[in-house]
Amino acid sequence: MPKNVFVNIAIGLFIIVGSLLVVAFKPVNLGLDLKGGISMVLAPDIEKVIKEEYENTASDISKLFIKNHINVLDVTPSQDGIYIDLLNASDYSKIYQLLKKYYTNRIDISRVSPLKVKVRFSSIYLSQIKENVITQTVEVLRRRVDQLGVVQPVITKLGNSKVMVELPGVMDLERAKKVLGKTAQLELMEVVDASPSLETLQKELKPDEKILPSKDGHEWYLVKKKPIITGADLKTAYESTDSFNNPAVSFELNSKGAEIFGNFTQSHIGKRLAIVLDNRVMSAPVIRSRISDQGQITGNFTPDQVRDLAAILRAGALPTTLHILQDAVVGPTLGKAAIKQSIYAGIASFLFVVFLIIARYKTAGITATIAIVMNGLLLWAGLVLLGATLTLPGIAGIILNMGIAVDSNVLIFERIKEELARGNTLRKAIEYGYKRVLSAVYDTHATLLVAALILFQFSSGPVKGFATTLTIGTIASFLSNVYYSKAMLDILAKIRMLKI
Amino acid sequence: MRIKYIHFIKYRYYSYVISILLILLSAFSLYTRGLNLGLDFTGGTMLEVRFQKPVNVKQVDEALSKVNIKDAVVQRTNTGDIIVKIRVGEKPSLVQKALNSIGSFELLQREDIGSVVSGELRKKAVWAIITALVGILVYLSFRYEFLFALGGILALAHDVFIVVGAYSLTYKEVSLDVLASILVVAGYSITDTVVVFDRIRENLKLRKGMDLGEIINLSVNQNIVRTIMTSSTVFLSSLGLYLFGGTVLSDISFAFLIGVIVGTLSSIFVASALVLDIKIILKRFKKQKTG
Repeated sequence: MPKNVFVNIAIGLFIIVGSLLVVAFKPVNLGLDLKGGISMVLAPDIEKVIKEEYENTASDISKLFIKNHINVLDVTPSQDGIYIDLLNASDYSKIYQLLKKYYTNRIDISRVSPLKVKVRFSSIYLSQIKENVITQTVEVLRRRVDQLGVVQPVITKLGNSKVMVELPGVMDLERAKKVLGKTAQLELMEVVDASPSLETLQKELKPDEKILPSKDGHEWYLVKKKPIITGADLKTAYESTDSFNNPAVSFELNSKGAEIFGNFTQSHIGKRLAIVLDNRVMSAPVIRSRISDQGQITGNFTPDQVRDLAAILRAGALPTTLHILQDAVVGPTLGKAAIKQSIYAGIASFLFVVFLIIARYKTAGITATIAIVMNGLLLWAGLVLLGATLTLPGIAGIILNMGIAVDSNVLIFERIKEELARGNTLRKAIEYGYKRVLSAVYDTHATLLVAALILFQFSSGPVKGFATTLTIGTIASFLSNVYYSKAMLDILAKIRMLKI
Repeated sequence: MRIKYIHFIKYRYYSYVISILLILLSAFSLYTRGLNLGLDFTGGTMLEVRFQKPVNVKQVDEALSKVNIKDAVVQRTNTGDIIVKIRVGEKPSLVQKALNSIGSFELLQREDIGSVVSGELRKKAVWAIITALVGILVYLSFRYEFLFALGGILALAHDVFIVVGAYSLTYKEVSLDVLASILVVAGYSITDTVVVFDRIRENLKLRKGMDLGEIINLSVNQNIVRTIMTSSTVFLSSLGLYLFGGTVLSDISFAFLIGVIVGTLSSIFVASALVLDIKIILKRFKKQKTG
């Protein structure tokens, strides 16, 4: 079958040349465990967002009822819905139609008892909220990381409720946690009263007010719930110093914010203004004159803290509190040592395997060795082309794959030996050897693929690297077995060099 | 290498005894010692540091107890680095403080895993093992008779259980990487079995009328050299990793070292023998029903 041989050789050569080009011109992505850096898995507190959304909706519904002259006993938000207590059981259909008209498919309405109605967000709306929170979180984190000037960061969604951040080359885990984990919700609020005693303020508390602690926790402020300005109206923020020459962060408002703020300060001269960051009052200066677009955040900051805070404010606030579920930092020393060790391990494994197969299969063993090298080349090119990341377990996958890839060769060679022992000619033996083990070769590769693909459900970190190299390796091994190995055996047989 | 024709099927009861002993040993170890689960599954914080001057485990233990950290696991790697692991809830900053009091060091790596993640990973790990086994079972029953698939899966479960038992016996850490490695060993071990099954299928077609026991025996014999050779190549490549690869790679390759040996034995002695015995039992069962 000389025609078939040439086709196989042509395909084999094409794959080899292509792989060589890819490997030569594009470096492979190294995982954080090899090049060093920080990785984190963060989860935004979606429950909190939903709870706040229920609170807002509850107050909107109350207003809606008043506007439409419907009297109810109470509208109370809870963690998983809003309860409406009716005065008359007959009001139900009126309420049902009104709410459905305004909120359409965003809510589900159910009747708990004749006088109690429960309103819940529909699953469509809930998943919309979730989606928004995650998308916003990713955007804000991306801007923050950009502000820090990290080279080649990775910030991606992980499933539908988590975010993964990878910062190569960054080693200061505590700082990274602060910069990424801070909500950074800046609010300028109207101060009603202030006192070192929490109880005094609690007595005065009205429904549209709330109590916030000062930065050091020694004082309490009674402020209006609705902020005058939020961080969303910020134009920029930068490092500066306060009047005592201590580090501080100055900010400027955009035109919409400046207008609101200008009007407010003009009408509240002599009153106090609270500058609130993440629900803590940083300072509460007295308004002396109309201020339109500038402000300053002071506190006992170090210069580093000021730089980070300014950067965070520029990048914007996170939609909700972020929980750090998992983080890791790998120093540069460890990664370098790991690369060195894996090279030694790789060479050792290669030599062991090659020694064994050449000892048993002589010149055919040499073709198997070449197939291992080709397989490695193909695997590497596959990694580069798919933009996959090489991790330490991934390297283990590559090295183990050497031993596994040679499996099919061994299978074929043993069969050829068997056919030769039966008295077949060399060419017939090769022909039968291949034909008769092909189904086994399919099955072995398929079962390995099943195992490797299942590993992909651990979609983060080093294990994914293991799954990737194994999957690509299994496919590469299949290709190299079908294309080069047989072609090489045929050539050796033709020039009478095949000893098996 | 020429191997005499061996009557594996006749001697299968001896191998059953060995397998059962190994399974009992694994079960006993799992029951009494349990597994040394890695941070991935327990949650907590791990710090690996390199001191400028050599430091021993005792010094670190003492420094940790001074800052009131209990239940910390302190290990010294073969390169002399110190690994400290604490559970969720203990403060990593205290560990840093304790280490600082011993001397100056370089932080090689640190990992914090919350209990939410570790809980999730534990669940996922169990699912991964189950789906892997079921996935392979489905594939095999699609390609072969269900009876063969069943024999293959039983042999596979036997291999996986003994590998896990080996981790328990040596008290090596079972991290997510190791779990992944065990799953791949499972995938590999079944390939060995598949090759034998493939041969049985071929021989069943070629030699109609021959007794199943004889056919199995012939097929195992025809494949024995191949089985030993391929297992050796995988064993050798994992040996390179085990000897030279450093902590992480060694832990991963240990699953392969043990798994390949057990997998080879089970594909020679267990898988096909089980197929035969299940068939015999089923036949008797049918006879009883009809008769």
